Amino acid sequence: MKCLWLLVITVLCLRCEGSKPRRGRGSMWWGIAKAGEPNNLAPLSPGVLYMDPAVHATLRRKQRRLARENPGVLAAVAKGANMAVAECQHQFKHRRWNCSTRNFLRGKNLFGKIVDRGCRETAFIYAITSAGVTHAVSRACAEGAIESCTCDYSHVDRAPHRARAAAAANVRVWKWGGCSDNIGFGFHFSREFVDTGERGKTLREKMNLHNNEAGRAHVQQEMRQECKCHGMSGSCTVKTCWMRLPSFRSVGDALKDRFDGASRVMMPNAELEAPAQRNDAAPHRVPRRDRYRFQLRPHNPDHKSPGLKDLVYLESSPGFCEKNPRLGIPGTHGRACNDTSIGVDGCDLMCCGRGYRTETMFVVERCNCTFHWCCEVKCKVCRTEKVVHTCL
Amino acid sequence: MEEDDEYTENTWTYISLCAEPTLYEGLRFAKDLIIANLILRFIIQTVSLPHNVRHSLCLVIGSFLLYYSIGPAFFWTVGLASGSYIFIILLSFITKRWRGLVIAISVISFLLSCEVYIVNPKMWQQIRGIQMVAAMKIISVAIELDRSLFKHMLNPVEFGGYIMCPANCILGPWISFHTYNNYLDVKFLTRRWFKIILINLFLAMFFLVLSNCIVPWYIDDDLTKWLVAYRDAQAFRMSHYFVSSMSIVSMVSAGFGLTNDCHLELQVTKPLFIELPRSLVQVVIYWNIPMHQWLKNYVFKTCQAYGQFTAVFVTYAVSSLLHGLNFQFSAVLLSIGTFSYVEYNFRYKVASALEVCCLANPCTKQCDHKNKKNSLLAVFTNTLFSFITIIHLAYLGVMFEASFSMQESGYSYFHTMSKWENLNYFSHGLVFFMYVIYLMM
Repeated sequence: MKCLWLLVITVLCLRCEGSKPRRGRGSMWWGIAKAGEPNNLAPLSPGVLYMDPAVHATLRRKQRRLARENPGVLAAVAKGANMAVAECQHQFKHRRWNCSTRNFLRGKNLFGKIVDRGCRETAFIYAITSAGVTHAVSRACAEGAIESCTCDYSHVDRAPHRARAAAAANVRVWKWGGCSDNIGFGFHFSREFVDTGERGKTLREKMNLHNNEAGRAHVQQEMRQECKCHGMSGSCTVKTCWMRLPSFRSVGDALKDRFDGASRVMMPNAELEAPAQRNDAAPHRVPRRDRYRFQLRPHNPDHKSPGLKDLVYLESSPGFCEKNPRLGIPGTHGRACNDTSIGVDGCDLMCCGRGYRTETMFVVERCNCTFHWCCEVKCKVCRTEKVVHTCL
Repeated sequence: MEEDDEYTENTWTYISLCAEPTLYEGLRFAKDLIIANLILRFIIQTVSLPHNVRHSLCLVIGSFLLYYSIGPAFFWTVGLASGSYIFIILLSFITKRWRGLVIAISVISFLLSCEVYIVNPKMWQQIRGIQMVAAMKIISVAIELDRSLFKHMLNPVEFGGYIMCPANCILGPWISFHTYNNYLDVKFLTRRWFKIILINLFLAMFFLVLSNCIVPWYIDDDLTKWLVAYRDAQAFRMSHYFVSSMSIVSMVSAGFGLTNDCHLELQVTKPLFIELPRSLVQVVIYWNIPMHQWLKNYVFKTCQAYGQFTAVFVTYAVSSLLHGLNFQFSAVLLSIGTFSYVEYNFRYKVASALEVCCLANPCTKQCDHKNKKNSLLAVFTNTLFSFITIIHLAYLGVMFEASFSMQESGYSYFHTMSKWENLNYFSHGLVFFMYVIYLMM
């Protein structure tokens, strides 16, 4: 085991010597989503994932330290990043920008150069990835997959963030338990890991921080401890508590709503104004707590300033119609569209008026599936005719 | 296809994230109960102890268990027990006939004043069940003293042991002093004993997981309000089955509730008869069998001399007062009382009008109606009445679904009324309608 660590550290050192500070600062870790892919190093084998040099190339020094201090967390982060990418692509599958990811290469950003612009799409990417990490780490934590936040109940009572819960309830009487209390770990870990490098000095960094926080807030809002009383005729002799995590789809839906109503912001007149109603859970663990204390001003002074859960952006989105190598936009050439829809997925809008090609294809798919007790599903193979429209 | 996969995964995640801590906390609670009771049983079984030492052993272990699980609130129970013992002794000098009544009134008013003035609501919700069991035990002793069922006055150790007995001081069930005394004897225990404990523990955990995780999940929030009400009421019933099974576990692990050949003779509730009820009357009986027996034996029978109606009324009043001075419990219990009264009489009339076996209680031997219980008409009417009962149960049980803070500190008047208003007071209307038909028939 020791040798393994040594090897890892050596690999790390070799890697970091060569690298210069990169563009996109803390956002390179997204690459972790694709890191295990080529030889299918599943997130189930955290050791292997850890050794993968491609992973380490994407991480900053602090992120590596966090991964080292919390064995098992990297697999959860990878899972969260994958979830975020899949959710982003699900939410945007019918839009001109479809959240496509680049082939992962060292030094390139997973989502392409679009993240260099401070537009709505970038805001969504930051929010959904930060939400993905929060979600996946909290869940891994509750499942006991992360060693540093196990369901080791004997230590649970000493954990600092339990002190408040214990003070509220009668400590002597109610012994709170379960892994349910590890909810906070996901949130704090996401702050430390995802926000690395976003010092909150420039406006762009403030935007990233705000959107990361928004993503986390959406997960945290629905992630809660639920309790129930049991006892003779409705009394409360026994109390049981557990954790409820929202489905990631609902987080994605909520963030997509915020994307549609995102607010354009500019630098506030005075730096570090009165703190907004920010979630300051256990701030003593965040060294630079002040970096979350800022209020962004709306671009249009008549609009109200963005709330904790709103997405913010700085500049309008580029057109996604044509190929633009400078911004890494592939254009909508060859995208499938729906000729009957009048929405963004309709051929008129999707193809930006260039017109579309209609083809008739024969698709072989499973059909007439029946369920046989138990547990088998039998299907027939059908050839169906399908009309496919693609943009020119 | 993809969506489906994700759905199953989410479901599984949800269930496991809920079930794991739930089971953990349930088992941790069970552990304390079982250990305390096993210690009691092993000492009784291996060391031959004189009568009084056995009772004091019960007293000591029970006090430890109670203090360990509820903390300082334990002293309220001790206070109730010792205060009422002294009161019984003093009363015995004055009267030999009215001890039951006086003790019942004073114990209940003590409980009510505790609830209203003295103890904070959170703590009260926590110890309410424990105080209820203690109160039932005290009242039963006082009434049995009046009926001269004891050869001599109980000594403090016997009395304390009975009240504090670890087998039933936390979750009940109530047992009479004589049963308790018999159970304290050495028993013939076989492997079957462990089996009974394990089966009931398994059942308890099963109901706990059903109540916390599965029942609230299997009906979606945005379905019709009646389905949601049914679900919430069912989650509450499951919680009751959990408590009942757990109380059997604690009784059996102390060697209580067993026959001489090590079979379980104790029954607290019958889930099947409540989930698929024949009538509300049956639900009332099978909800908590020991409590039903207690009410029947000590309240109903005592008051029977003053007429049937008074007896029924006093029984419901006592049962509601034992639950405390809470609008919700009084409303629910009073509604159950009127509903089952109307149901009983209505079914009696229907049975004689149609000549069908569809009384609230099944005919014991040979029913003298023309259509026997297996005839088509009888099956049909009974199913219809069952369905109405299920609706009543959903309507009455939906109360107990509440935010955790409310569960923890007691239900308010507005909570009760808003829940019923949401269901348009349907059951009350239905019962009134049935009553009008009953009057016309």
